[in-house]
Amino acid sequence: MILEFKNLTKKFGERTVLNSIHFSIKKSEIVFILGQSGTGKSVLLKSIVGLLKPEVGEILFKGSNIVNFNEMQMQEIRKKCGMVFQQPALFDSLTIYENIAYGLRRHFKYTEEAIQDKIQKVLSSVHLEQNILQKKPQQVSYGMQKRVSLARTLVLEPEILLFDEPTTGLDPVTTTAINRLIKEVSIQYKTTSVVVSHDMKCAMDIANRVIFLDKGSVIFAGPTDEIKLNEHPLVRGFFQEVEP
Amino acid sequence: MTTFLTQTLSALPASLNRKKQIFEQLHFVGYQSLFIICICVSFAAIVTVLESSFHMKLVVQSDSMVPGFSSILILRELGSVVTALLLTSRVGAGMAAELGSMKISEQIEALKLLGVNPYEYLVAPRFISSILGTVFLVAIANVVCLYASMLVSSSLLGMPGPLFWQTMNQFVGYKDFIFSLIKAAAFGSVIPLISCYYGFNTEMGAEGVGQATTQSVVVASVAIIVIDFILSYVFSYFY
Repeated sequence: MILEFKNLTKKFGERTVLNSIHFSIKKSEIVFILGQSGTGKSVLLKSIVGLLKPEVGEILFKGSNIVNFNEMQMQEIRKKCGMVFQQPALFDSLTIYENIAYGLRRHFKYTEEAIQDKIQKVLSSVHLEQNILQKKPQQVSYGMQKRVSLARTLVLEPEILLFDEPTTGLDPVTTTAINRLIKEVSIQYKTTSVVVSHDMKCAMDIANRVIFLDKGSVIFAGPTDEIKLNEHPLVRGFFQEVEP
Repeated sequence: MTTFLTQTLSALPASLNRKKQIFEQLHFVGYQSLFIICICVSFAAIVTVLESSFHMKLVVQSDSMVPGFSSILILRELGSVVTALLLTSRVGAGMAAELGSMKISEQIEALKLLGVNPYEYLVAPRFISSILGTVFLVAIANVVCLYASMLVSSSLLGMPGPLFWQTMNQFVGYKDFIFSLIKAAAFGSVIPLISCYYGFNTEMGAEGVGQATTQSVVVASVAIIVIDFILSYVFSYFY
């Protein structure tokens, strides 16, 4: 197991957002975390990279509990867990090239030629042209910004890719393209991918396993082909959207 | 706010290496605010001189003390407080809006994931630049105010320039100038702390950015007035 959650509980004030979450993720899997808005999906992702601290429970990364890691230790985890946010989260004041190169310059001591090579490679992986590199993020479309955001994460070659609602705000064509891209890069870079989404159709197409959250608790965890057998009303509700 | 202040102060030594960010912010706080501040404080000084003259003539039938009183007012209050309030609305609002937008677009979280301490990258350079910029602007504002007072005194009140400086020197000393710069440093530290704090705690999208900006300007303005009172009270023991 590359990632395990044991009895994970997170509260915001009196409100329990994650309630004794318990599941695990194998290496090279594509796992979709589905559920309604406000069920704690994004909180779960942010807990993995230490942006939020759970009150109770353990998150095991390759067997080590990372919940009580300090900021310095967490940096090592963040190098291995790349996150693509709900919004592109690109730095407005930097060009697209500088945005992608930022993490490489920060974490490694590559030469400028090596950085250029890596950026060219990652750009072709996310199907973007070289001519956008000197543009500022606001000069390209929202869909392109999402791809740049993915490129910025991929260029660091993380072991786990975390996607927080990667297709929110995109048109259906771009949504399909991004979903296809998640599968492509997961295979190409041999990463484990954890995708928070509302998109059941996409989950059925590209996920190996699906985790369903409802009110902070896991109501289903299993392979995609077992979803249709599940009787939980929420799972049925999501599944009916993709049934012919 | 205590955690925010602690994080900012602990990030200060490391942020001294971020010269690019410090100079960018210094340009924004100092150079780009210079013109508007010179214009505003000049008119404030002119009004001070004219009002002082009018009331002195009314009460003591002479406005010969105008250079002295107006210079004291300019150096002890007007130069630093008007400059700081203008910076709050121009620079503080800008900082709160910029960081608020970065917060809601998840750029601050992205920075953390790329191994960058947001306090070191975003807050501390603004803190350093704001202190330096405000001290620089208040020094300039004081000089501009005094010249504007001298010009209006000589042109409208019939008081020759040399007489203005001579009378002023009898009332104000180097301490007034130093104390105004100390006030400037205090105001300059408060503006980015409050603005960045509200920016970092922005929630609820574009509406949240608007609220954070408004709140930061209001709170920073009140803080400046209160700090001005405290420092004026403390300095009164040294005159």
